[in-house]
This record gives sequence, C-alpha cells and structure tokens, in this order.
Amino acid sequence: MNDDELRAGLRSLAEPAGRSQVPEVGVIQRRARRQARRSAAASVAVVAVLAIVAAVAVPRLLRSPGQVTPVTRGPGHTGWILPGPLPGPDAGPASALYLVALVPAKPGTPVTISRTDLRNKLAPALQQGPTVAPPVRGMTFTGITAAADDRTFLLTGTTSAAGRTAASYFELRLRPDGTPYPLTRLAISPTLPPSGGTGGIALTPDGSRLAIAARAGAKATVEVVNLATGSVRSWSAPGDARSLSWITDGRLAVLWQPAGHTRLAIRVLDTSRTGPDLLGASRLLVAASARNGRFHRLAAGQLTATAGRVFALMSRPAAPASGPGQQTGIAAFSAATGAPLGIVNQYPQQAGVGFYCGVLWADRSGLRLISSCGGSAGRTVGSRFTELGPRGHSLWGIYGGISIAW
Amino acid sequence: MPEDDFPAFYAASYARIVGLVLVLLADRGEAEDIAQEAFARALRRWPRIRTYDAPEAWVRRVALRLAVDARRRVARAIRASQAVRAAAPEHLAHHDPDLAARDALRTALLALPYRQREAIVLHYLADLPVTQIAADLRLPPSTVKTRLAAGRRRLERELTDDTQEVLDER
Repeated sequence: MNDDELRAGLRSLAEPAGRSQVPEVGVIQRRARRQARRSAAASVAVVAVLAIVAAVAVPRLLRSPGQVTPVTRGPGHTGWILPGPLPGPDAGPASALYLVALVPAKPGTPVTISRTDLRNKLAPALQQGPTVAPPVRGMTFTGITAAADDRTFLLTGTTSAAGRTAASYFELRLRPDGTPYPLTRLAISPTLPPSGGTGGIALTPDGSRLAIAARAGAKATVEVVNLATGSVRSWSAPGDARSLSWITDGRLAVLWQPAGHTRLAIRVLDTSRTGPDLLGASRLLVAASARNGRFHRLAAGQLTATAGRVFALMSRPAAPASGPGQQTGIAAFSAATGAPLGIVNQYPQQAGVGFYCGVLWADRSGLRLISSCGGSAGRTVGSRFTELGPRGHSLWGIYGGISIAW
Repeated sequence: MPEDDFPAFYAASYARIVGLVLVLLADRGEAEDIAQEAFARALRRWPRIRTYDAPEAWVRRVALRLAVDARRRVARAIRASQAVRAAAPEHLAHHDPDLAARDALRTALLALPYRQREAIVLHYLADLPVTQIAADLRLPPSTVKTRLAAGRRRLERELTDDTQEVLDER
C-alpha cells in the first residue's frame, strides 16, 4: 500500500463523519455552559481546600523568626506540637546537630541557633546561625530545654513589672535545614514562674511534658505541665529544686537542697505519684554524703539525666565549689541505683565554674556527651574526653553564661 | 460581535475533527462526543482562539488529548465487538470488496500502538507535515519520523497478514 492508497483508505474510514449532520451550534453552547459551571464548582472546591490548608498549615511555614503566633485554639489546646520520631539510643554524636545558645543578658537579647560539627571546634560555630529574638518588648529569655529529636525546643521568656515577674512559654522548632520556624506562644499556665537558670525547666525526651522548678519563699515547687492539654500537676516541699532533668518520660531527677541545709542531693520524683508532697513522691538517688572518685560533694550546676545515667557537678575538698583551692568535676551516677560511675572530666577552680557547668547534652544512652565548664568545652564518647578547641574558646568562655539545649 | 464567526468555523471544521478521532479510535459515538467537547472548550475561549492563525489546530490538539484519555475505554469496547464479529456466522459477513478493504485497514490500524497510529492519522489523513505533528504533540520531529516509519512498517505487515488470512480462508 503506497502513500496515496493509505490516504484514500484513511479518508474512506473517516467518511462517515463527513456524511453525518453537524449538530446545531446550540449543542456546543449548552455544553460550554456546563463546562463553565463544572469549572466554577471545581474552582470553588480548590479555593476552599486551599483556604483550609492556608489557615492550618501555611502560617506555621511562613512565619519568620522573631514573630510570634498567638494561640487561637480553644481550651485544652496549648499550641504545642509533639516532636517527630526521636533518634535511637545509638544515634551517636551526630544526633545533636543543632544547639540553641541563650544568653540571659538583658531584655531583647536573641537566642542563637548554630549547627554543631562535633569533629571541629564548637566555638566558631556558635558565632554563626540565625537568631530568634523575644517577641515582646522588655522580655528576656531565661530558660531553654529541648526534646530528644534535636528539633524541638521550649523557651521561657520573663517580663518584670511593678516587682512582679511573669513567665511566658514558647515553642521553638527548627526546620530540616536548621532554620527556625517563628515562635509559637504556648497557652500554658504553671502556677509559678520558673526559678531560671540552667536546668530550671526540662522537657521530657518525647517532648510531651514540661517540668518546671519554681520557688516561693522557702518552699520549692516542681510542676509538670502536660503540653498537649495544658494540665498542671505540682509537688512542693521546703527546700530548693536547683536543676531538673528527665531520666525517662515518667521519672524526673531533681538536684535538691533541703531547707536549712547547704549540701545538695539528687532525688527522683515519680511523676505518676499522686499527692502534693514532693518528698513523699520522690526518693533519694544520690545522698549529700555520696562520693564519686576524689569528689565528695555535689555542687550547684547543670543536672543532666539519661535513661541510664545522671550527670551532676561535684567539688572537692569542700564547698563552695568556686572557692579557693577547689576542684570541680562532672560526675556520673547510675540512674537506677545512684551508684557512682566515675568522673567525666575535672576542672581546676576558675571563674565561671558553678551554675553554668555540667553536661550540656547527652544522647539517650548517656555514653556520648557534650560538656562545658569554665573555659573548657569537650565531648565524651564512652570514657574518652576530647577538648573542643583551646581553652578560653569554649561555649561559656565566649558568652560568660549561657544555657544551651540540643 | 467577534463571537459571531464561531458557528461558521464550527460548521466548517466539525466533520474533520470527528473524522480524525473516528479513524483514531474507531468509535463514532466517542469521536462525536470528543469533538463536541473540544469545540465547547474552544467556544469558551473563542475571543482568544479566533485570533490564532489556525484555530482548528487548537481544537485538534484538545481532541487528541481527549482521545488519549478515551483510548483504553474504547479499546475494550472494540475488542468486545471484534470478538462478536469473529463469532458471527459466515453468511452475516459482508462480501463487498470495498467494505472488506476498509475493514482490513481499520483492523490493521487498530493493531498499531496508539502513538504510531496517531502519527499515521495526523500525517496521512490530516495531511500535517512532520514539523506540525511534532509541534502539536510536543515531540521532537525525529520522534515523529520514527513513529511514522515504524507505523508504516507495522501497518504493511498487518495488512499483508490480513490478506493472507483471507486467501487462506478461500
């Protein structure tokens, strides 16, 4: 079959179309009107879907750092979003990719988000990265804590007026590239503002609950806020809760100073226990008389707990930790029995040792740590401690006093 | 009014579009439905489309896209009708040689892969040059040429087999 024959054959196949009557143009007009109606309905549906998506999701994506979104949800919703999947216990040092450094210097000072490359010095990384400023004039960020997903942080901001201090709570969440979503103010109302300082607030590893150490007169109060519902449970006792950290999602380690005593102990609060008595709901984990290596006195500093270990600051030979002739060490204890497990690192006495000293980050196994004290910052893997950068360029060496959470 | 020239355009080009889709899908009802759908779309955009050099080319492109969507549905129906025809008694089959040749060509065309059939129909029925087909289908001209060549070869083979079958039956 040549080309002409093929053309003729195809025309013969198409011939019935030529013989049939062309429908009136009105048929096409009616069809066009139906199309227009369908198209309009589809457009309305698309617009409705987009509007719903925009109302729910877009504000979270588009908010820029420094802005704050007021929580407009009804009662029982705090604005908090639970973190995503948590890293496994062996995620390794790389699971702490980001740190948020907080300098409670003066109102308006922003927090800095930095990417940590644990193979290199931390100090240069701390001077880079986006910042998030307090969203309210006159507010100071005074506390920070993180969930174990390395993306979800909770900040406290305090404002003072007429001699009264009021605390606000903000969710700070990082995008996959480490840049921050804008802050979300949480609709939670703990009874008292947190005491402030490192370890005054603590998120559970799964990010579902927030523990707050507060003080009113000679009485310490530990409050646990359910971040999904905003409900608050509290336990109180005479004394002072200096630092908090979750051993697991239900057990809370508390660096405890009993009323009228200068020495510290570590207690474990079982947050499933009912009753308002802090001492009744908790048990002693590490007694004030406990020894660990050459150190025999717990000191005020960062308390950091993992599923298996609790890290606390200790001093020798006598309190106070920052006094002349002191040595300070970061000590590890068993989270189950309180038995001493050794010294992570020790430091000669120097300015800055004390409150801003301790393990800043630990993976859930408690075998990988980042610690800082005075002019020294380092990482520990297993029993091996490595200095991160020269002395004087450590985390707190730069800022003087910061809280850090990963 | 500018829309006034649509009826004339429609009347002049309707049969060509139906014929094109009819040969492509071998289903007259589907071809008419697709053509009307394409013209209705053209009517909604007529103020713009009427300014084109070849408004019919726009309608043809729409119809081709609709035909692609309809081809599987139509192919199932055609297979069913071919099965019925094959099972029909001998005395019901036609013996007009023109009709037999047309049937053979239609069967051979339907045996082609759809994209080859599309190229054959556009080139030999719509008389479009390769460059125009390539533009309509958004393909490189070389692809169109390849499809045409492969389509022609396959068509020859199908037609030869078909003729041989007829001879065998005799």
